[in-house]
Amino acid sequence: MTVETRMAQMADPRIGSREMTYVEAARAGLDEEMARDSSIFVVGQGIGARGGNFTTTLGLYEKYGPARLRDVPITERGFVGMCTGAAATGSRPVVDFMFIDFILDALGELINQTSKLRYMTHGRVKVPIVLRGCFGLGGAAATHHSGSYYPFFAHLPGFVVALPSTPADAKGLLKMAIRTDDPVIFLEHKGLLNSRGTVSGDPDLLIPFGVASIRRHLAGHGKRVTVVAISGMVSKVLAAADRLAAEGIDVEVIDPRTIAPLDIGSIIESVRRTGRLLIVDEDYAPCGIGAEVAAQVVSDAFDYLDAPIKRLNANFTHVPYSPPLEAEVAISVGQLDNAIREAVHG
Amino acid sequence: METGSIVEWLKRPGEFVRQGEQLLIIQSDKAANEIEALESGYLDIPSDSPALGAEVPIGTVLGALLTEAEALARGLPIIAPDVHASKTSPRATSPKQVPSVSATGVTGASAVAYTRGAERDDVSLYREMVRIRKVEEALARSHQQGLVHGACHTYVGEEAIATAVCANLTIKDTIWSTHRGHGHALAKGVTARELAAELFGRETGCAGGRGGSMHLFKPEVGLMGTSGIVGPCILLATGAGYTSALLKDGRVSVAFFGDGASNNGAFHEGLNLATVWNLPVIFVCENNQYATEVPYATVSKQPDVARKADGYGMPGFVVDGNDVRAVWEAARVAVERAREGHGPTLIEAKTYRTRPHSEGMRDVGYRSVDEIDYWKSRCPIQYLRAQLVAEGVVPVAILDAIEHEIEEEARDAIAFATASGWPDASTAADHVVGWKAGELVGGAVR
Ligand SMILES: Cc1ncc(C[n+]2csc(CCOP(=O)(O)OP(=O)(O)O)c2C)c(N)n1
Ligand SMILES: [Mg+2]
Repeated sequence: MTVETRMAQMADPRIGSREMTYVEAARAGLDEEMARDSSIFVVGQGIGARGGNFTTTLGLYEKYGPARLRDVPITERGFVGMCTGAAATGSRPVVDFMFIDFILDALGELINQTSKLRYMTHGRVKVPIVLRGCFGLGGAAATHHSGSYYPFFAHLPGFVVALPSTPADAKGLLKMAIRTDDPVIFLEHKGLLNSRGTVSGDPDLLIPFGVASIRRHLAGHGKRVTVVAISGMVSKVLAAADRLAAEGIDVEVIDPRTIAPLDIGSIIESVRRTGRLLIVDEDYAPCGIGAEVAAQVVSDAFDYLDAPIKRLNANFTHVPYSPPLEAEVAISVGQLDNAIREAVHG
Repeated sequence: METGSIVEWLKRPGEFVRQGEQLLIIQSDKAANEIEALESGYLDIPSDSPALGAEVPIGTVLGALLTEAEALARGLPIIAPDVHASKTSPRATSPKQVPSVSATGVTGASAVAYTRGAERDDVSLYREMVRIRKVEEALARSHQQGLVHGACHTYVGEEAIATAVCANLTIKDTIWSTHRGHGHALAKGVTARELAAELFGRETGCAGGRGGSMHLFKPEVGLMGTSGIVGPCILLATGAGYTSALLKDGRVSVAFFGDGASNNGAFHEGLNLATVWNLPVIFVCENNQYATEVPYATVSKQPDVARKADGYGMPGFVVDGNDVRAVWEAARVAVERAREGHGPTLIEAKTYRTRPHSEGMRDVGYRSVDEIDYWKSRCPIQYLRAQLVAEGVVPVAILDAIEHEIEEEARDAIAFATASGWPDASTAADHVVGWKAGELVGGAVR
């Protein structure tokens, strides 16, 4: 049974905070939730005694045992279908795909069952399930282990898609995901796993869905631009903003944190202040998040725009292995700086 | 009665015949008689058994009823007794095909090479296994030096399987492999240079550097691909078999996959399709007993993957995957069956990887050092070497010379990879589609 507890959006000041990595923060969040609610269980390959390929469950098996940290065979369709049934009947599964690429084997189940059950049952069945995995370019992981895929899920009704960019968000959004009564796709960029940050120990601090975070506010001088950055791109854009300040460019950086639901209001507010917009997303441009943000801004806030909206995405190709090829596909520092300059001056 | 002729066999070769069941019909000068089996056993009809209708003197041996071990040793696709069959209607038995459950039974097959088909060349098998071993070890060292990027799953300990299976294939036959595919690639004809260069990410690699360890391709020699995703190779090989059945091109296809893959839906769907459509496919399950760190026993109640063939009406064999001759014999039977239109076969090769799942990964906590040592002592290369030396047919000096030659080849491959250039970054988006950006769409896609 779910134990009703406080859901806070502000940390309890009496509870301390601590520096930790992104993956440790998410793990702490999972641990706190599992301790609070015995209906939560995790499935995945190597998430039991081994502690997860990316250490997402390290130490939890010893605490919660095999029934709640369930190692599964390589049967993605099977365990997603099974967990959907479990979620529909009162437990709260967390499916850990390790690489999110492996979710693709389960798409039929996810889209036709997991996301539609609530709808088809006229709201009488809920499916509280978290589908988590690591994604993104880097480390010569090659074509089958470098995918992103999140726009698929944002395109469809029925899914929340969370893309935390900091350790604190990784914890707060995962806890929120676990407490949510709907399917949540929770995606961790591989490049962020070892990044560090301060994380509150407040066990009830949740980060709500559909609330963007302004990661960098306008300094008030220079040419203004809003940059919307997704997941692993946030820290890269922040570094670019620091560099470009010297050129008299004043960047406001928005991290939507969830792309479904999307906090378009915060983006439009920012565009009102800057008049210019660039969306930086490592996933592909066509039919992607940048296209969606641009369409909504043009439709709802056209008058605020002083210049065309720009997008910067990774190269529209499958992800190659060889480091120079991979680097070519990824967004480079030079491309990022130029894209911001173009959005300002173009 | 002095002569007679066979009218019809009522049992198939390899089929289990119970004592008292009718075995064949013989025409004598007086009448056609149904002949019953005097004891139980698996039917062997040797190649020199008289043809149907041929008049032969009494006392001619027509066939034999063998024990399971003998039947396996002769490479018969054995068909076990049907527990549901009633004794009074022996012809109504639906043949229930099951594998041998003893790895040792098949091990003996090497000594009794069955007459038809290919010749086994032990020296070539030895050379190929040594090549895989030495190239893998060189690649593992390169991985430690940071020259191989990303994951690197070696085939050390499992060399006999790819070697023996591919030795039964032609360049036109296709193979479809897994994340642990270096050995398959080499055995099918990728050169050590092309493999090393690919893992180094260089343009001279077998995928031009865009693939790496888990994405090796050389369709020119039938290596249709290794894969970062567990499972699809089984379906892809089934599809290749469909082409061969459709075009009658005489090719066979092989899927190599691990014990872990045998729980994936792709396995069950692929095996079923291959049998119902009678496709020329060989499914080779390399049961190294772990999927990453997960023991097979914890994810399947049935300890023999091969027995799952029974559920799909396909013969399944268990072989000792560390005995190259045993694997060769099983593969020979399977390839022959496929080429002659008898459909697919599942071969389960029991084996072990003696290195970590992937280079640089921990190798403790889920299996014991004793277990690893035991399997190291069962090295397939040393095993064949000991056999060859004991049999006295191949001088030790030749085996030593092969080792040196291959060591040189591995060294050369690493040197070649190191000296090779990086791919041109501007080619990163080549080959996404067959048409060029702008040709079919109104402008750059990006
Ligand atoms: C669909 C899918 N799920 C999970 C993985 C991650 N993974 C890579 S190798 C592996 C274990 C495979 O075990 P097995 O099939 O026995 O092959 P082995 O590594 O033992 O040769 C797993 C789970 C994957 N590559 N693809
Ligand atoms: Mg295995």
